[in-house]
Amino acid sequence: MSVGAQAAIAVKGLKKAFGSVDVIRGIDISFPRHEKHLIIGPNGAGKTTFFNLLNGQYAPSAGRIEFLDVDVTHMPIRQRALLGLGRTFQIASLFQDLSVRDNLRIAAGAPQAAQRSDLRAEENMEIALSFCGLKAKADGAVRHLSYGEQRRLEIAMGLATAPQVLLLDEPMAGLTQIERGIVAERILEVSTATSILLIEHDLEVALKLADKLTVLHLGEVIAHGPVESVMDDPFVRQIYLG
Amino acid sequence: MMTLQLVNGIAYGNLLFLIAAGFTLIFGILRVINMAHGSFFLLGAHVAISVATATQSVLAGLIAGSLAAALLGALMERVLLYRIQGNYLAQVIVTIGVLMIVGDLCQVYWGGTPRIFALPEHLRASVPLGALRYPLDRLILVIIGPAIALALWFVIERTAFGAKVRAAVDDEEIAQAIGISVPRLRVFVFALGSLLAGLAGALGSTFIGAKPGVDLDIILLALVIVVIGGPGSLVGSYVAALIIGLIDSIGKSLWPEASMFLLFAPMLIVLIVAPHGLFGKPSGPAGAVRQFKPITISCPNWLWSLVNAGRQSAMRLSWPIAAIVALVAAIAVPFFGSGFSVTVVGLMLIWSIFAIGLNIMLGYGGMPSLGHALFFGAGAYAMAWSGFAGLNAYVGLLAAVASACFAALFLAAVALRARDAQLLLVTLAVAQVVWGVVFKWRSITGGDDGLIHPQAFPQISSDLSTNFYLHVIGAFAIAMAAYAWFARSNFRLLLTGVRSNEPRLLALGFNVDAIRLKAIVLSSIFSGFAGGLYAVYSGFVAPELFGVHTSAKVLLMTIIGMAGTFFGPIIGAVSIIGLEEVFSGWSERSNTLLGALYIIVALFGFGGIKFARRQVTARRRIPVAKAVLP
Repeated sequence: MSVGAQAAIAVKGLKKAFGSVDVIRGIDISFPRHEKHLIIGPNGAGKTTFFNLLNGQYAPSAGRIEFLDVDVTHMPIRQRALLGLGRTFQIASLFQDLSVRDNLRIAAGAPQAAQRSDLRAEENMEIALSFCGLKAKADGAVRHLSYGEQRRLEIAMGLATAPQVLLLDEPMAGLTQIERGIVAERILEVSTATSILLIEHDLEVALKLADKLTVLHLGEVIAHGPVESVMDDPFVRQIYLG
Repeated sequence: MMTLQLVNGIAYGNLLFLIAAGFTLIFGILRVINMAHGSFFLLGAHVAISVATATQSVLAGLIAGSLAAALLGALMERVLLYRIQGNYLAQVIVTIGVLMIVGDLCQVYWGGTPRIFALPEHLRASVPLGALRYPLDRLILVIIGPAIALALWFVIERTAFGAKVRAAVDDEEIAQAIGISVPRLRVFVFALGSLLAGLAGALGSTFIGAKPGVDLDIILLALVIVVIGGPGSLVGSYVAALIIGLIDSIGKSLWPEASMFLLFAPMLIVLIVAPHGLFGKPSGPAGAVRQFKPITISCPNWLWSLVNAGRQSAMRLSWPIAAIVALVAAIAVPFFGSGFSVTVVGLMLIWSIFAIGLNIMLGYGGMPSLGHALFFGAGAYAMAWSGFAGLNAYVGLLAAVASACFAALFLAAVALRARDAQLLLVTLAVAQVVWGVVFKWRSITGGDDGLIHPQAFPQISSDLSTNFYLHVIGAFAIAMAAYAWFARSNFRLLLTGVRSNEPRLLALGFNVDAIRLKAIVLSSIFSGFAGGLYAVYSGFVAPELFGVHTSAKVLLMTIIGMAGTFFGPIIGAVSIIGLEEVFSGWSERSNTLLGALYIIVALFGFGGIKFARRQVTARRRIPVAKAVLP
């Protein structure tokens, strides 16, 4: 049984409890392909946990996850990555000892990237390098990069694997206003061939990027749909915007 | 008869528990793999025998033996290990250094003959056991063991002191901030663990006694027990100690040839079935952050700039030039040097190849191994057997590589999931299993006598030593070419990725286990190749090739040269072999000198000792306004 045809990601009855704490309390949702979805919610709404379930970091307590109509509920992280599910992390997770170029080279050399892209790994690496705008620092070690540069590299690495769906976990957290603008521009540039799920707190910037908006609250989806209609929802305004 | 073995096994098991409890306490709480644990046992036994003989009081002997060990343990922690907290590799090297020094000095002071304490007549009691009588001094162990287990559990889990210890382990900075003196706690825990080892030595002095080499036997036993029971688990240690005690005593009577194997086989099974031991829990993600408390030595400016210049030029040196210079120098040796220098340089090159093998795993992949002797030994024995089979030595080298690869697959089957300190334990354990088999399987391996084999390289030079030397140079060049190819390969990049950020590599879709497996196999190819060369060099193979001393030596070489740099292992091998030759020429106490060297190098190499530029005393005073304003 398929939850939703042509969905990038579709989940049904998804639950996750840590001990007696229910973090995700039954989510049914389907994210269509070729769109940019913004997921918002107050602290503790379960956003990052939701990503960790999608990506396979956690096993769900109940429910089912489909990725491009394939049931991935019990698939290990690596298998999901091979199917084309990429993600970035809230706290930049890079290869600190290696150079920027080598970081991207590893990502572009991932097995699924070779399968899905017509270009050679080295060409993909160069594209990713210009994407994150770090050409000048390409041969320096990643640990010498500024925080904002690391965030950009983090996104570029996610993209270099040529994913079908990319999960971006707070890519703009902790950045200055200017840096946020740069990151937002980069995300807008990503072609619609890659569907994006984005968690972000900075609504001002993020709303401009998104096609669809999902609001999580206490582990449940309370609104889902085109950005304008969700923002007009009185319940959402009450909970999230105060 | 069986009853006797049973009681014997239980008594012995309780003694083993005392040994293992100290080891697991130190590992569980302080995360130190204390290779010197056997030294505390040895020291405890020696001191107990001497004091008991001098004072005619067994009790005084017991107390003196325990206290001597506790004191040594406390000193070792406060003076050495405290400097390199959180770095288990440096700690292993330092404690191996202590093991060598204490063993050597004990031999100087108490001689090399085994000492066994004879109980005075009035204390020699025995209890009836079926048709036989069983000595009371051993039966007492059955009471002391559980009593100590209970006491330890109570202190750590149920007292305020235990809570402080656990808090200090969890987060040193916070514990300090709320007023706990962490250094003092660490010393106390270390002293307690050492005290137990010393007590075990003293209690065992009536039947195990004190002799050279017992320190190594003890650390291996402790290791087996801790791996089976689960690192850090007292209950696990107790159960495992009883199992091993029983296996040892029953196995020795039923199947004496296999006793060594019988000890290590259960460990291997446990590692495969339950990698964290019967009662162990998987360790948390990251251990304590490295907290170095360096000894700072102020040094004059000229020394500072000299060290700095050396470091700078080493960094700028392009490696092809360095390789050519080294190769030319090495080829020139037989024409200018004596036979002795030819031998030494040949040995350096062989060990370099061996260390390159470990550098691939440890330096690039971040996978430490204290069982690399496994590959070296596998290569050497394969070469020896090829000689008996009448095969050409070149074929022998291929056989050496193949045999090392086989050993690597065997190791990987057990060790692939282990990380960091756990991996160090597991690799050591696997190498010891093979060592045990080689040691006892006389018909194939020659047992502890080893094998004298006829294998030699085909003649390309009329002079025998030059002929061998030229072959070693050739082998070294081949190894370097392969190593350079590896260092530039994509695989090297991925391997560094494993070391640097394994979860991310997994999330990117890479098969991390396959990368680690490849690294182990590649590493074994170099090390087995070196083992094959070594067998031809010495004309003789012995179980020691598989021993922990071999593993420790190659680990030290890799670390000295700064693991992860291209030339590191070669620099390490050349300096260690060179110093060994120098030391053994100087004095009979070369083990003490080497041990001291290990300690100093580990402290320096990991930032336990730091040079600080001496303050320039006559500083010109600049008015503040002038310094700030343009």
